[in-house]
Amino acid sequence: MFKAIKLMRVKKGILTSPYPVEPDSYGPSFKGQPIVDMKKCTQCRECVKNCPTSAIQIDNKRLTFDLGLCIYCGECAKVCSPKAITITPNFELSTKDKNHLQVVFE
Amino acid sequence: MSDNSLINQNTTADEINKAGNELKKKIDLVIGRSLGIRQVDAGSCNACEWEVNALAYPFNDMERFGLHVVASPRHADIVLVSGPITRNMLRGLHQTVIATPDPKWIVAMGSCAISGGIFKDSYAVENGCDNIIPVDLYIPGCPPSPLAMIQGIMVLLDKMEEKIIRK
Repeated sequence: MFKAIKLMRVKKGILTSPYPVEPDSYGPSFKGQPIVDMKKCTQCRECVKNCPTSAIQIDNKRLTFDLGLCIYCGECAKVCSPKAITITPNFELSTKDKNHLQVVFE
Repeated sequence: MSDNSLINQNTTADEINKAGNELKKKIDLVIGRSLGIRQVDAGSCNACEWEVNALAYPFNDMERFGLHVVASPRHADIVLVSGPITRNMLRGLHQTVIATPDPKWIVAMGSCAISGGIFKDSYAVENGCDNIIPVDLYIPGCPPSPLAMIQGIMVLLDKMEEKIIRK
């Protein structure tokens, strides 16, 4: 009986992600780093108003994302009417320097 | 931020293999299959704790590098801080860092520990870890996913190599 259960239930193969040695990613719906296309941006400041942690700053056609403040909720991409902001599944954001967390789009 | 990624995904399979093997050798040399992590919950919402839990699941399996979560700061090499550092946990965090033997690294995990996150400028929090103690590594995310944490520890390898002398 146990042999039958084993045949039915137990799968063979390696489950562990080979991540740092080989590239790996979560699915396309994973919320990672936000990216802004400044050609599409109309400076309506709707994302600045709707950001729960005020991680976005716009001044003089420069948009600054503070990845250390961002909570990756995707609200900015939802309210952006020209669809300039997209949430990418990129999760490789760790740094040793805090200044690298300020991402500037021009 | 794509310069942070460990292996460039646009390269060919051979280059990925080569870079992967080099990284594997470096991990074995620097970490040496023994790296204790002490996790300090300084007012976190427990999402970060669940992700640290998820590091031990078979899919991520942090034990393959020799990473393990230890029960005392005296056994630890890395102090993993999560949460916006509430006033009540300020003294506890200080004592944990003092109790950790050198060489040690302090890692701020999640948006809360980096800058205060959603709790920024509240009267009860200290707006992130680096106002209190010098931080070696920042792992953004709310909460950071387990693979992001593995990437963070791999980013820290260079810093570890400086402190650990092996002959």
